[in-house]
Amino acid sequence: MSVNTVPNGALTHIPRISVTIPTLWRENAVSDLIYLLAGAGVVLIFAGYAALLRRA
Amino acid sequence: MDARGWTEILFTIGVTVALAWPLGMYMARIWKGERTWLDPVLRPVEGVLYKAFGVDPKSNQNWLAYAVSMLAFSAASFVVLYLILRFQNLLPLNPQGFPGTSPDLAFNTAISFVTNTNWQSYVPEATLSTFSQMAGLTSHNFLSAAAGIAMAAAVARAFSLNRGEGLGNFWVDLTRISLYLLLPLSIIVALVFVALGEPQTLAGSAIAHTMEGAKQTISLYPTASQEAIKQIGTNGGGIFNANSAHPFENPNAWTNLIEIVAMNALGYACVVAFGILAFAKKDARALVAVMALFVLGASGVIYATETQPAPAMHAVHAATAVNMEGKEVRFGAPSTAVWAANTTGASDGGVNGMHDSFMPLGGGMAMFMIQLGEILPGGVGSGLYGMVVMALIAVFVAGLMVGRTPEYLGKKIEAREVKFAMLAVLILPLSILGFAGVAAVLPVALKGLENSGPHGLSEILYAYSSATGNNGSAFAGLSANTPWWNSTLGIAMLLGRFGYVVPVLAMAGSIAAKPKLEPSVGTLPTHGPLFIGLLIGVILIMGGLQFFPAQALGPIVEHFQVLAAIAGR
Repeated sequence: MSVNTVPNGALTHIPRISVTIPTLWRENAVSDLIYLLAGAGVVLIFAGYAALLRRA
Repeated sequence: MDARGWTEILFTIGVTVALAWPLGMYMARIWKGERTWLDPVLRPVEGVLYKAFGVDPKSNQNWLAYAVSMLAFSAASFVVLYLILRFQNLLPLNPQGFPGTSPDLAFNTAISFVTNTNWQSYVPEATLSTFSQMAGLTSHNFLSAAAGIAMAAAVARAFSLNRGEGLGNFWVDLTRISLYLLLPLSIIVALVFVALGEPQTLAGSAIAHTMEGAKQTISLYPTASQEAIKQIGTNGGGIFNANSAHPFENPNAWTNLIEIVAMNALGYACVVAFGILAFAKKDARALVAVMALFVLGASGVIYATETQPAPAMHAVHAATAVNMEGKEVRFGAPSTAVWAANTTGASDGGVNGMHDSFMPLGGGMAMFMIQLGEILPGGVGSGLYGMVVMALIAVFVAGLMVGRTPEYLGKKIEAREVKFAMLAVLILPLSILGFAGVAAVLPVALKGLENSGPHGLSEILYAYSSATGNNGSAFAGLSANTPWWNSTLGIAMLLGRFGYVVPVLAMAGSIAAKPKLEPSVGTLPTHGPLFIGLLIGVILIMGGLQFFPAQALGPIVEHFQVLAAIAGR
């Protein structure tokens, strides 16, 4: 995770939320997207499976 | 083994089964929407919730609408929990300052708690904030358990209908089961746990100074409330890594007894409630008998194996009568054995000893209980519908053997229902053996193993059995917090939960549409010893046929290695 610093190396006092969400998101955006789609997607695929069983 | 140990095992199982009747009668009232003693307090709350979420409590869903509602709820729950875990550093109640979890761990944990598995790849007290534990995990302990019981209610209604279609309303069932059953029970049990010494605080941790002068940070958490729903909802996910072997989660023999009873009471109660709704109280009693006999048998096997000297102790000529490795001294072998049989039969997954340290056949027995389908008595709700599936297969097999028309509780069982039942049952070997087979040859998976040889295979097999069975306990020798294990175990949990329940609901829809018949001379009685024996046989043969070869390469081979080691060969 990248952290903003001033020349003497001290951490800047940027409100935490404004730094962390975009940073977290940037670093893991692809992983998050894959895992969110995999989890929610697989559950919803079972809805399709249910519809298939209805027609069987 | 001694009489005291057996008495403890019999007493524990006896109390649990006895509690099933009052709880089951109460649960049936909730399922039927009847008045309960909590109505004056909770009925207005229930009404507000329906209005807030736009639920029409009078609408009746067919099986497909019921299933889709459950799946949509689970998908939304997964997304919310995933985001809580990933961004816990930005959320309140994080006194330890923990960062967000990794994506693969959030995936695994979110699925784990949404599917009532509660497998934990992480050390909770070193990973999760108080907010994540409470708002994320504990709330899902309620909701996933309520969803499971709701499915059981839908299946029970199918047997009560005569050419019907509506199986109830998922949103109403979810609300009523959470409000009227799980919340009040959890409050009572949590207060008992607090009285017996479990911590209940929002303070981050206590600091202890050891005799050597070192400083120890001991996490506290609102443990008692988490512990109550962990057991009542057959969740099993510990607030501490050592689970109920940790003295804060399980301080003494009383809490140990209550936790065992709590983890199985609602499982049996679901069967009693099913009997009331389906007008089949005697048949429900037979299902309870089968469940209890399996738990008793498994407790006996584990007790017998754990009262053998461990080979390592033999090697140093210090053989003792009991294998105490991995067990709490304050509980001993009988309490550990009866807990292990109950937690693996019940899809709970909480542990008071380390299953990895059991003798090979003891660990193998615990794993076998999971592989039998988590129906003994199984997870809350899921145990009941799993057992109904087995009962249908049993009457179908009996029908084939003696030429009778298969019937169960007044419903003709035909090819369509049996196909749905088999679609559900076959998901277990597909996921367990499929994933275990792949993991056994992939270097990326094998890196997580602490042991090689048969015990290593047992660790792999146990992990996928536990995930697919939505149990959540583990052979602790597996380091599962890696992308491979987190991802594949997560998929296994999804298959085990939804791959099973969707065909079961389809089966329930098909059964609901059939006429309810009176028993005839050609009807096989499904409440007597003959049916109990038949059902036990079907469960054993299904489990045995599917998993015995894999067990033979793991725990059974290891057992013979131990015998050879003791004999000095």
